[in-house]
Amino acid sequence: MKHLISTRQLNKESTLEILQKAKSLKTDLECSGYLKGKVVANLFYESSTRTRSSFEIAAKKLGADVINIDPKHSALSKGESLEDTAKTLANLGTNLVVIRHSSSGAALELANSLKDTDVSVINAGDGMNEHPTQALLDLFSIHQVYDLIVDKKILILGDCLHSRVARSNIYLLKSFGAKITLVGPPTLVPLDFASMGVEIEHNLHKMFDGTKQIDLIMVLRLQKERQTQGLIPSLSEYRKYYELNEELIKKIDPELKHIKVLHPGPVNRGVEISDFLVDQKDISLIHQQVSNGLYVRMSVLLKLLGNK
Amino acid sequence: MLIIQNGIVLDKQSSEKQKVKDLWIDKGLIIEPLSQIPNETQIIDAQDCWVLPGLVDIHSNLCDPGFNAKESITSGSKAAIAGGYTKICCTPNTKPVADCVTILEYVKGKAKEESKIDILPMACATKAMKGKEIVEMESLFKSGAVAFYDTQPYSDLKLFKIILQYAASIGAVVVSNPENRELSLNGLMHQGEWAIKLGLDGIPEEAETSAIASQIEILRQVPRAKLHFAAISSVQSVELIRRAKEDNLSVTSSVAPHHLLYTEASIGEYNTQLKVKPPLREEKDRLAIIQGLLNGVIDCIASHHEPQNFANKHLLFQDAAFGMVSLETCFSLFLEKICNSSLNKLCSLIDCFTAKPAQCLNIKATSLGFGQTADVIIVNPNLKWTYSKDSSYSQSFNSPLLNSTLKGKVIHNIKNGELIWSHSPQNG
Repeated sequence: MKHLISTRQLNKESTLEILQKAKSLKTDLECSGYLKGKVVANLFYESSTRTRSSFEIAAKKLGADVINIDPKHSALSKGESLEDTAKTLANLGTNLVVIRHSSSGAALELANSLKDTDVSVINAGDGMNEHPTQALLDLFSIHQVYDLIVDKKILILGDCLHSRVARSNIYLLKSFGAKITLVGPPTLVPLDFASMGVEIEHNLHKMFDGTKQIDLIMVLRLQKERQTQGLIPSLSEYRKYYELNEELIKKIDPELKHIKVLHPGPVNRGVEISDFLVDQKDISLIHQQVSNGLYVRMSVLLKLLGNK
Repeated sequence: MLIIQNGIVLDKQSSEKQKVKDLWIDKGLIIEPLSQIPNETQIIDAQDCWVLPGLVDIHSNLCDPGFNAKESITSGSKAAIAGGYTKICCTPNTKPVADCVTILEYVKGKAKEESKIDILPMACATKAMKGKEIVEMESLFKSGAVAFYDTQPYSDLKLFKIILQYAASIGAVVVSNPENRELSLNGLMHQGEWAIKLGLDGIPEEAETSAIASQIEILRQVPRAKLHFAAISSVQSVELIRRAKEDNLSVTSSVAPHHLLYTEASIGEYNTQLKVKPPLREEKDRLAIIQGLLNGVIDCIASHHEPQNFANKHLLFQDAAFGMVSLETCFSLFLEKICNSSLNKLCSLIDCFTAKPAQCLNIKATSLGFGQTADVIIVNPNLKWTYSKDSSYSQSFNSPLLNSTLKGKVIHNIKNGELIWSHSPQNG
């Protein structure tokens, strides 16, 4: 595998390989030499703290040199096309580029521009399209609770329309046999998602009427601008009908023991998820997701660069 | 004198619609064969080829004046000739836009000097195409504006009614690009399963159908007005136009070649060459459009030739320009993919390229009857050729077909009785 652009590229075997390697890296004391001499460039056209830091620390832990390019403050951005930026980075001896961009398809375009080189590309989020390492770290976190996710019922709650996390997770989790239901207001969960083989439900509270199995809930971040775009009436209305909170979970899991909750961060506490749930240790995997992300990204870096 | 020998002549006006015969041309007109071939007669052997009336296009963007890096009257006209057209109508979205007699005179003057075929300019319906005030319609009409067309969608229905009323009073056709911008907004492709999969903003079907429906209702209130919808793309649009025709409203419509061939799925991995407006829709829409052509609800195929230079298309999908060039490939594609290279099929549909587009804009149709102007093309239905930058006459190559091999090619173009272009095998 040269690039990681989409979770659609991954089969079960290659996914498990990445996750197993991530697990072993947690206790690997020699990892700091694995990517010695390699250069990883973080090319983030969209601001990001956690994903960029995660990639940077991951690469550094493996001994790679990391350069962070902020196109907003660099000469690279001044009218330069993605293709030319790619070629510049290749000519500078970069081995791998981690890209985040606001435009869907940007990571693929970068990879296509680098097809005649040895430079690898990791998609760290392109527009509304995909964010494959997020889905991998989510699956890794889920695996800490469930060995198998065949027939596990997973809700993805919130703004699915604009979410690259949702898309990457749908592809990946479905390939492992999970049953996915997207939940959210109709403007943010359009019926066209059904073509991706998921269920669609616009009424969150109906999901907790006791007749439905729920094993995991992946809560998505609600961008505040969805209100100004007219896609939701107000944040308080959204909270009223789509916030995930302990009262709701207790309806089907009174002890708060069974259901697990994920969130890709950053969290709007008290909007899409209650403050209490974020930090509730039996339920929330949110804090583990962040640390797992580091090892999963190390593993992906190794998979793409390790044998070169 | 020019004689086209041994070709299969397709003439829908004649009792024998397809017949191997010689077509005689003298002084620019098609004439009855004489008993003897006079001296110094030019003979074209059309053995195994089809002889057809010259094609008519009612929607080409020649980008002239103003965007000559993309196309010009000179290059666009050559592209049209190689594509089999003998009359084309150019859109007014130039720079400056064609909203006054001066620009029309420029286009007509340049066409006269640079083009061997008829180039009929359309004029804007509103000043500067801003959708605020109507143009000086009668003056423009008398100066040769073939129709009135704001390529920017009509958003003010009150003004749209005024445009229709004025146009009706002088007998001119109004052309509409049916799009409701409040609904299409920042959309990049058809709103459906592929936009969801690719994570791109969608253009919903109702952005087109709501515009068609409301404009038809205005048309209903304006006696004698004539409205043409350019490039319709969805099942419901076909249905709305079918009903309007049933109500005897004077409405016509055209379709772009790409909507006959591609769907949203063709965009695949963000192929910007397939970024067009209206967007490529679903398979059911594609089939409905083909059906609409067959049953006459859709009148004709217009090229919707929309040149874009490399830099405008070689961008991320979100940033790439809309549009596709098609003057040189449109008819070949139609022959191969819609007619399946069958002469009978072509015979039933050739009007979509000749008589019907002419009818839509009230221009004189091409025909092969005796006494008609000799606008004639000769087509080799089996010739395989490659559409490439080297073989192309257009200045732009924004087409998904670039470097692909097509079957069926116009090999001679005769305008006003004169052989103006022949295909040379080294070109593609």
